[in-house]
Amino acid sequence: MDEIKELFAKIERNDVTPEMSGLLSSGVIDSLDIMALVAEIEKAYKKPLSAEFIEASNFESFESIKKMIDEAMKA
Amino acid sequence: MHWLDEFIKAYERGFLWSNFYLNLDILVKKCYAKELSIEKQGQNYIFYQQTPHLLWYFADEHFEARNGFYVKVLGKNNTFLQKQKEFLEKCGFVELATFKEMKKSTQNVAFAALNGEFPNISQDINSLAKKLYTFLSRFFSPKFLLFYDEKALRDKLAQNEAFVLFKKGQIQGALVFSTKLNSAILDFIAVDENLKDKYSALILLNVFFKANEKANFFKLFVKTDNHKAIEFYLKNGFEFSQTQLQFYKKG
Repeated sequence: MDEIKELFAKIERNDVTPEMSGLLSSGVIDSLDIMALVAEIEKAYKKPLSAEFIEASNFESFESIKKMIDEAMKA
Repeated sequence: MHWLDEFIKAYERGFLWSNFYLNLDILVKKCYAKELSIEKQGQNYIFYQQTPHLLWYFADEHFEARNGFYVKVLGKNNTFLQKQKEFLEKCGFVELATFKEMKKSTQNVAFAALNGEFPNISQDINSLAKKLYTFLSRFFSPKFLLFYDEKALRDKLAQNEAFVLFKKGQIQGALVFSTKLNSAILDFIAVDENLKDKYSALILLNVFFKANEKANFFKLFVKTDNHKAIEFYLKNGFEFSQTQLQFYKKG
């Protein structure tokens, strides 16, 4: 989960940690954080992230973000 | 589109300055749909949008924008916003307006039951969209604020994401919303300034709440000097978040 932590660090959200859950539904992160995160993912993987992956359920925890990136990048 | 391929390669290394907050996929699609046109100046890339007249910049140095275009900068970090402001001023932009985001959690919201059907589409939808556009244009400048054209408003009406209040055949109030991730976003709400019925805004707001019972949050942007609106939203349970939206104008 270090790479997800690094992505959050890049968007200046060091306060978001792997133990947290319900990131979006509880308001820890919002759509602006998600778009910043997506931009960092695109830069890191040198590939645009298709809009179909930008769903609320994919941004609730470090685990779901990691799973989403893995699926998106192999697509 | 040859600049676009070059831009995508440059995007991977990043730019010092940018006001674009959506993902690359959306930007590329908008270019192919001809909603954006791209211009290259040195190492800078500028994307121009016609409806409304906004531009998106990806820059490493100052750029010369076309006159009559607006820039919007969205952010929650004051340092970021201040740096963008200084950069834009050096590019000849003037600050125009600041909006702040307000949000309200849907937890513990008592959703009012609406009596009967909301008087929305009892007339031809094309004609209603045209009237709605004209009405909203009175309150929100189509040059930089009103990001829905007549066609988009027609779609909103058809999807029940726009509501219109009539009195004696005239639009007296309207609301347009959209949904994004887990939030319902109140894009535009306006009530005729001569309307005696002071509850119209409240009726519209409750329709918005009711239509979005499943959302986790209700969100909106309010102009920082619109004290009457701020008071209304605070009274209805909204709170300010850290997110700000700033508009700048060139020429």
